[in-house]
Order: sequence, then C-alpha cells, then structure tokens
Amino acid sequence: MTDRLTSILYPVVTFLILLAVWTVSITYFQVPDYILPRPAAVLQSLKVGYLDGEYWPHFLFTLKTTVSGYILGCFLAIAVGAMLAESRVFEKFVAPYIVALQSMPKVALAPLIIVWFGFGLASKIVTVALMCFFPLFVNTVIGIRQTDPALVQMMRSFGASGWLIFFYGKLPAAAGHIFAGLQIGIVLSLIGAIVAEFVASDQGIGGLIQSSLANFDTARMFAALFSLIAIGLCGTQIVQWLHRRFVFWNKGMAKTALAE
Amino acid sequence: MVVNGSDSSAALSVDNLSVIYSSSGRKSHVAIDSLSLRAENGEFVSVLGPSGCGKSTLLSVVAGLVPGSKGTASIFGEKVSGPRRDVGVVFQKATLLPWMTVSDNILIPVRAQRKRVADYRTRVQELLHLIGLEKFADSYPEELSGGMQQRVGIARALIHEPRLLLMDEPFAALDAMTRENMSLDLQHLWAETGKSVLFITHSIPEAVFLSDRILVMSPSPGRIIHEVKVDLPRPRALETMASKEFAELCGSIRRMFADFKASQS
Repeated sequence: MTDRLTSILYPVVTFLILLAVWTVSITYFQVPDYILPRPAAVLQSLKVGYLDGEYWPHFLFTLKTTVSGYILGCFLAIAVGAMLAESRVFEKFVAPYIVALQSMPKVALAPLIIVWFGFGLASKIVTVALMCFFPLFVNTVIGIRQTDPALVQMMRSFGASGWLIFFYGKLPAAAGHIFAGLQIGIVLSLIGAIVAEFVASDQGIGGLIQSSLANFDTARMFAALFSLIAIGLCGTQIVQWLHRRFVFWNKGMAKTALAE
Repeated sequence: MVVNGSDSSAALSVDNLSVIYSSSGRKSHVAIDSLSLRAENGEFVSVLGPSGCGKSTLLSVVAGLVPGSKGTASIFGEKVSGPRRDVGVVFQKATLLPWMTVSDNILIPVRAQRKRVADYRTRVQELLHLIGLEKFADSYPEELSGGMQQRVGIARALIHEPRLLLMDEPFAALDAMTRENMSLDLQHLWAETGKSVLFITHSIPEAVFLSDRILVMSPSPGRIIHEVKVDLPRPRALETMASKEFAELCGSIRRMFADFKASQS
C-alpha cells in the first residue's frame, strides 16, 4: 500500500519541482516567451486546443496514422519474422537485404515514401509501419528461434505437424520477445508519424509543430509535445496490459522486455 | 543375440543399429555401434549405462526423432521411419508447455494426431486420477512440483493409448526421495496398463527395481555388453530394495561396469 502511494506521490513531487524551476527561471532570467513559454501559456494552448477543439483534428490525424501504421507494421513484422525463423531457405534469400535495410535510418526514407505514396494518409501509414517493423521483426525471429528445443522435440515425438508446433509451441514461446518488440514499436511509430508529417503535411501533431515554428509559438509546440506524450503513454500502457494478460506464465518478462 | 526384425510378436526390436554423427571438419563420432535388442509385448526393459553411452540416442532413434545410420528399429514388426502414433515418450525434463493447463498438456498427443479432443476428456480425468492430480486439471505447470510435472509428462505419454512407452531417464531431474516414490508409482501404472516399456536410466537400483530385464550398455561406442534378467517377485515395494537379492543384483551389475572398465584400460 505504501509502495503504491509513494509511486504516485514521488513523481508528483518531481513534477512540482520541475514546474517551480521552470516558472522561477523564466522570471529570474527573463526568458522571452518565444524561447520558453510560461506554464500558464502552455496550459492556455492546451485549453484552446482541446477544450475549444482546435487541435482535435490534428490529434486524431496523428492517432489514426500511428495506429494504422503500427498495426500494419506489426502484423507484417510478425508474419515475415515467423517465415524467416521457420525457413532457412527464405532466410538465405532475404537476410542480407534485411540487414542492409535495418542498418539504414528509416526516417531517411520518408521523402521517398511521400514521392511513392503521395501527400495523404497512405505515406504516413507506410512510414509508421516501416519504423516499427524492424525491432519487432528481429524480436520475432529471436523469440521463435530460442524456443526450447526439448519442447519442439516433445511435440514432434507425438507426431505434431509443423503448424501445430508453431502455434502451440513456438509462437507462445516467442510471445515475450514479441511483446518487447511491440513495446519498442509504440515509440518508434510515433517518431515515424511525426517525421512523415514534418516532411509533408500541415495536418497532424507534426504539422501543428511545424506551423507553430512560423510564428515562434512555443507554447503551442509544448502543447503538441504533451499530446504526443499522452499518445505514447497510453499506447505503452495498453501493450503492457496485453503483455501481462497474454504472457501470464512468465511474470518476470514485462520488466526485462523494457530493458532489451 | 540375433533378432529378426520382421518378428511382429516383439514390441520393439532393434537390429544392428549404428548411429554415427559426422560433422564437417571433425572426426565422426560413433554414438551407437551395431546394437541389437528386443522387448517383448508387455515387458519392462531397461537400458542401463553411464551418461554419454548413447542410450538417449537409442531412444531418439526408436522414437523416430533421429534416423539411424545403419541397421533398423522396428516397433510391432514395422520399421520406424518417423514418430509413431502407438508410441508414447516421456522425457528427462517434463517438457510441459507453460502456457497450457495440465489437462491441455496431457491432450497434446491427441491434438497432434488430429483426434477429437472431446473424445478424450474422460480419459484425461482417468489419467489425472491415476497420477493423483485430479485437483490440478486446470492448474498451470509452474504451480506444480518437479515430481508432479513429471507425472503429467507420463500421463501425456499415455493419453493416446500407446502400446509402447519410451522413457528417457524420466526421474533423473528429480530429488532422491521423489525418485523412489515415482518408481513405485510407475510400477503401479505399468501393472495397471500393461504397456511395453523401454526405460533408459543410469541408476542401477532404479533399473533393478522396475525391470523385467536390464540391458547394460557400455560407452563410446555404445553397445550392449550384458543382459540381466530380474526375477524379483512383483509387486515390488520399498522393502524389496532392502532385500538381499536386490542388493546382490545391484552388486553384480556394478561389477560388470568395473570389469568392463578394467578390460578397456
């Protein structure tokens, strides 16, 4: 009980200290508003944005691209990862290219993706999918490959087919790794969405930040950043909850997953 | 001992089986060298040997998990070419799937062989009763002790009514006390079900306690050097282990290993 209380209370204390330092330093060093806005100005921005409703279309745009791209990317990552883990032949065909692609910063592809998929929703979704693909893909391969060979041998000895061994044995065995990949993917997909919006959009939270730059509206930028934090936190919480629910047999996993 | 592979009265017959592992760049390793053995229907046969003598390899070949390099293994007169439906395997580790309940773990062979799970629900109950874990049907493996997990492993190997049970040092991972109890339970189970059993072990008392016949195996390359018939009356109890006959049998087998070692050096 006290543990739960302190884990809520202490972060609040940190927040208040940060807030105080922020406010005091603005007045003390006379920082102009366009460098660092006052907390009140950020709050005002958030009010205009979400209570008066100005930001909602942007927020929903980013949410939509992030969620769609995330689902697409994760689905592909697990599917391709499973194929690669299960087929040495397939691995030989594609492995070098996947390694090459992986060593390239994916955000560098964003302009090219705009050329191919246009300025609309599609290019954003593709960028997001590309961003969250690789860590989950790698984790899926590792997870499936590290299945205890004794379990596979056991299922084989009872005449289980490759499919049965995969769905009853390897996929659950990889679940911990897969969830770790899903977790990393949340943050990466947000990066993807924002970069894509930076490159070509006046919509979305990325677009909002871009347009705030034009008139040095830093309060608005802060409001946008807080919106991103909110999406990221919610996403992470949902994935963690699913992780605990589905990988119930491995209680230490949720923590190690984050460390990876 | 010459064994005819086409003889269908034997639950298991292995003829001149050799297993040679060859890896590039290294000398090939002979795990098993022209080994022959035979187990009659309903017989409890142990293969006894030190670790690394190829006895687990022998079981893998019989289970159809590893192909032999030379010679054949036949089960009920049919050559082994892959895992068979009339065989149940118990492994050294319980190898239960941690994401499945005890019941579902026991049902793995049924699912693997694409039989209807619903037809086997009552049999799961019977087996759970037999291994004394009725209350744990819906528990997960992590809630069970090592001995209980291995019991589930045994129930799993029996669910699809196999005629031959292959056991690869099933009690090796358990502590000594649990081990003796498991031996008693296994004997009871065997008497109840009448399966043919090939039991792999490195424990002399365990082999003597359980078996009708013991095949003593020597290491590198693995071959059978002696055959010991165990005539101790059944059912055997813990007191049997304290008897003179039991001690003499164990002693003679120990001497076989010692003599073999002396003859090698």
